[in-house]
Amino acid sequence: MLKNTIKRSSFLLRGTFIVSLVLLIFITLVSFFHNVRVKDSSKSVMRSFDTQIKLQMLLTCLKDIQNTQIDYLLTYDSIYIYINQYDILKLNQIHSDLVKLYLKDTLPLIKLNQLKKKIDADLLSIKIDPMNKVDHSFFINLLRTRNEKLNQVSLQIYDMINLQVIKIKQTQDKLQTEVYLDPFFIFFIFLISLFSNIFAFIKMNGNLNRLKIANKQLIIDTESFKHAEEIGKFYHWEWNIDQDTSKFSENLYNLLDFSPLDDVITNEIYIQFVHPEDRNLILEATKKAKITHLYFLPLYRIILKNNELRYFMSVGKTITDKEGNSVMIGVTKDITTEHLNNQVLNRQNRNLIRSNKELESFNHIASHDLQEPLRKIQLFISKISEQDLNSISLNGRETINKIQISTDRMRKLIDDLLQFSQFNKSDHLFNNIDLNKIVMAIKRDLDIDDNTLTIDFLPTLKGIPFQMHQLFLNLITNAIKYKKPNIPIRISLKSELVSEGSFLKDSNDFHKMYYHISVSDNGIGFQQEYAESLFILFWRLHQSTEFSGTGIGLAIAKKIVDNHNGFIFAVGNPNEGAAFNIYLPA
Amino acid sequence: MSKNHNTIVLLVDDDLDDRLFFQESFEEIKIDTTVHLLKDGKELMDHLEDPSHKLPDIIFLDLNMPILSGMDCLVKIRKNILWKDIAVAIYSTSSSETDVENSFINGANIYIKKPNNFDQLRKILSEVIMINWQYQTSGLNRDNFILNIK
Repeated sequence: MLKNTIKRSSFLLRGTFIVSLVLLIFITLVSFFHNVRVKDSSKSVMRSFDTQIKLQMLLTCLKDIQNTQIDYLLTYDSIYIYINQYDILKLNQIHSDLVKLYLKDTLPLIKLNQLKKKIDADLLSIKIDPMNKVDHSFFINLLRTRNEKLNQVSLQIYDMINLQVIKIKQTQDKLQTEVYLDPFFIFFIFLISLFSNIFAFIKMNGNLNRLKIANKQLIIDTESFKHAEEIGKFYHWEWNIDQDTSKFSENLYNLLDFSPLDDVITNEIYIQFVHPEDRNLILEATKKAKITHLYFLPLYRIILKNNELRYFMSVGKTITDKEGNSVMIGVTKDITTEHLNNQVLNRQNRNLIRSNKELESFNHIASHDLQEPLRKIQLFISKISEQDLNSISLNGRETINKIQISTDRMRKLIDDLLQFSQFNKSDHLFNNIDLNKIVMAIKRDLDIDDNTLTIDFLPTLKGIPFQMHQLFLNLITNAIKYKKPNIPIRISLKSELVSEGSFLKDSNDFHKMYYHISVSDNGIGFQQEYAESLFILFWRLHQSTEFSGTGIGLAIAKKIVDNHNGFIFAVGNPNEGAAFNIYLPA
Repeated sequence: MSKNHNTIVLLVDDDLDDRLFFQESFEEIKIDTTVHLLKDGKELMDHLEDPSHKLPDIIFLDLNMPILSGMDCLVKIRKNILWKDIAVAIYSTSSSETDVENSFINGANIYIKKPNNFDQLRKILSEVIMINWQYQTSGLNRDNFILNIK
């Protein structure tokens, strides 16, 4: 998105520049040629004016010459001869000027030359002898012819003047038609140029604003990334593979607790920090990265200047740009805390695995090795009591009976212990369980009527089905077992949704929800001080003779609740009843 | 098993007392049986491979035996084309779920937990001998796999 904006902007900038340049050159050329044309035409007009003036002067001069000649003829004053000569010089001068002006126009030049010849022949050719005075009739005759000739010449000169006037008119007309469109054209180009510039300005201004916003965001991002690096204890790097140079982000200095003098850490300096035994790992990972384009070094050691040990982890991958330059970009993280925690965890795990194995072998001992001799004792006693009872004294029979009861109890204890240990295994899958169905099945199996057991609506939750069955079976049979002698037992199951903070004293979590399921009865109850002991394995509140059992039921119940990440608490009132409160995660 | 056929029974158990209890119980059951007592898996293999012995109708197999365990014997029996139809009853002290599960998977016909008294032992043995194994095998499932004598 941003890349496109930058690309569009630079394209627009270049485009506008080229268009403006072309328009500018065009305008300059048009103006230049316009000027040249105007200059040419004004030059031509000026020449025409000059020509007109000169022609006028020529005519005036001719008239002057004639007048001077007439004056001379009238007076015979020699002064007029000089004036006449001067006028003729002037006339020749004007003629030569005209020749220069007409130099480019061949036709008028020929006309001029014809005119000059005519002037020379007709008007200047008469020689007047100062000694011989002319008579009156000759004078009049001469005057007439001269006037006639002068008129002819004047007419010709007027023709030529007219020609120039027409020429001026033509030049002006031509110029007007030629430059008529120029102002419009220049204005039109100016408009195009203006619009293209305004368009480019608006566009580029928009892009610039977008770039400004992006730039601002970039600054924010960079700053947040810097913070993230500090908090997350990592730094990033760019490795130019071809030149084998690297750039590291600033947080590296914090992680290494080191600031180099020239403020730059090179690969060579960095490797000095790596534990000597791990330097090879880095070299190998580097070598591999050149081939696979992936850098992965899950763990290596760094030794700080103060000899503290740190554990680092690096990952990176190659990025190739359009020009084909390859840069590997990666992140290195200080995983010291995680690594040390992991080590502790691994150690604990190993211990756990070992103790689990011990437990398993204990299970085997209990299930086979301990039972084997016990079973034999039972068998031998059963043999005696079957075959040889008659030959034994009454006292002896009593003893044999007691041995039988004791061995039976021992066997029961071993069986219970085995059963209890089987609930340790937590590799069962959690399924959705409808507790209503579980409790209804127990009710059916134990053949309990609706008066004895009242069930509120129970939730459906995630759990291990056979364990949930065992939990409620144990609690219900426990209630039945400890009923008051002459009063029918009443058991009530209720459920509600509560938050963890509402029932756990040391919890402030009011978002985590639990199903609170209570199993309460009207049995013999117990002193509240024994509430926690009830769940201890083989711990029994009552004498064996009073109630049968080994004290395993509630211990198993607690183990099941623990397996389901729940809580179980007992509340008792002697002679009034007991309640077991179960909290299972909702 | 037909009534007029002499049922051949093998017991493989490394425990001397158990073998004696077993033999004693059979003597008291009034069924026409021939009982062979073998003390380990190797003896069982030798017995089965010996052509002079008739193949047994049922083998009672203790699981916990040194060298060749009961489970190993079971696997070998089920793999052998001649022996695979012999009824095998696991006869063990262990009631661990893993043992029961593995026995079932490996093709045992029934799982008997060694009883605590003589009376029970007799009842179990007579019951097992009376079972029509061909019928029983076809209906074999996990629910009736463990033999319970009340």
